[in-house]
Amino acid sequence: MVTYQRPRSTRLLVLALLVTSLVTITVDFRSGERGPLAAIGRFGAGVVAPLQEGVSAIVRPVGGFFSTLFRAGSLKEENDALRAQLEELAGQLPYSAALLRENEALRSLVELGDRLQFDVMGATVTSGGVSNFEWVVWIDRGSEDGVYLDQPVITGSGAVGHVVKVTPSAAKVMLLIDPSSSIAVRLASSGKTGVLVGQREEDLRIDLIPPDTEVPANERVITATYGPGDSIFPPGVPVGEVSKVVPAEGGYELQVYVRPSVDFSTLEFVGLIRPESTGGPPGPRQ
Amino acid sequence: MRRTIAWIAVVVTALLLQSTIFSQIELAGARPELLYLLTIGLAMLEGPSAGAIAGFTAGMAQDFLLNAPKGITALTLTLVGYVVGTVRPFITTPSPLLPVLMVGGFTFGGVLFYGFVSFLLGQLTEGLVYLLRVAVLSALYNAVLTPLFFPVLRRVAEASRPHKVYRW
Repeated sequence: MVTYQRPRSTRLLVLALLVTSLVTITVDFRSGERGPLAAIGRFGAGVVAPLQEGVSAIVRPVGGFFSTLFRAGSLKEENDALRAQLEELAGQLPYSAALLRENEALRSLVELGDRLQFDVMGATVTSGGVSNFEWVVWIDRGSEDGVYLDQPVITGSGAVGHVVKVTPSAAKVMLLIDPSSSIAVRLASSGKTGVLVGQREEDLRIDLIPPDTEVPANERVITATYGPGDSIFPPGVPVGEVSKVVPAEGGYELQVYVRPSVDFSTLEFVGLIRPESTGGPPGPRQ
Repeated sequence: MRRTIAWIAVVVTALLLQSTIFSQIELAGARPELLYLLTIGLAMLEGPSAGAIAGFTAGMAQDFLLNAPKGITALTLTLVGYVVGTVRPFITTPSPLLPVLMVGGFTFGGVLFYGFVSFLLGQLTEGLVYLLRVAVLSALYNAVLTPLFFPVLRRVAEASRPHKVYRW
């Protein structure tokens, strides 16, 4: 370096340096991560990195102290802690949502069980039916858990169906909407009983209601029983609400249509009513 | 020759300090720009051509050693060194605060220029507000550090200058 220079040579020098910088920028920009400049850069970073690490290890407490000081309080640590917590929670989010749903479903199930005074065993729906001609779900409980044939299945909102097949660790549940499902039900206000038959995706139908029965709109429908052990469901389990009443041809009975209170398309957690609650052991029914 | 070696030692030291200690000590999320401080101080003491060369060297070193986009810091600091060295003789205030103000002001301008060039190259990922914030904070930080480092620079300048001693 020369101490005294004429302005002109200084300008030339500066110009040369600027051009060099611009060329460097351009070359680096155009050649990207595979160019020679990037290689030099990586080498440089490789040289500096251990130094940085070494000094950082010594300095970090000091640096941490200063930043804490500058940030008025323990904001930095709090930030770090919160960020870590946030990441953790973000990871758990889908999991917790599922748990929350399960929790809700099970709680409503238990509430229903408490109200009607029977014990339920929780189960998770593992799959739907494979056939187009049956409306069933599979659950993750089987004979090892005490599941038996014709055991009633409910959710927190009401009756779901009954067990039609049992394996050691799984069971098949026929839904109320299956056309071959028929259970005894009662109209809540009039107390008349009938047989609830599945109609696939349509509303359920109740047969055998006497023609002179007064059926208010939206009347609640619950399960019925005639005596211990003669019905699948214990009495009082909600089934749905009356949606439509049609006098049957010949006038011997009313056809009452029921909108189920359970959404059968989104079954996820269900409960099996334990045998001691249904008024009879499983054996005699078979 | 002695002068050159002395200044090279200063640049390397500043670079190491910048990349180690001062990358840890943040002020409200911003780091000081020691090499800006160094370039501005050196240009004030040694004039425009020395300022430009020092800026270019320091900038290149920073770009390559820290694996940043290469050349932008060099371009910025070359200009900063030249401009500071050029305007210095026209400022006649005897205030001892002058280095602090110069460092603060030119760091601010330099960081903005750096951001502008990055923006032109599509390398600026943050917005204008963030850039302004960083420019203000690092300028403040540099200004605060000036009383600490400027005497060292002046000592080096005086020690390596054999004949005349200039004190601004």
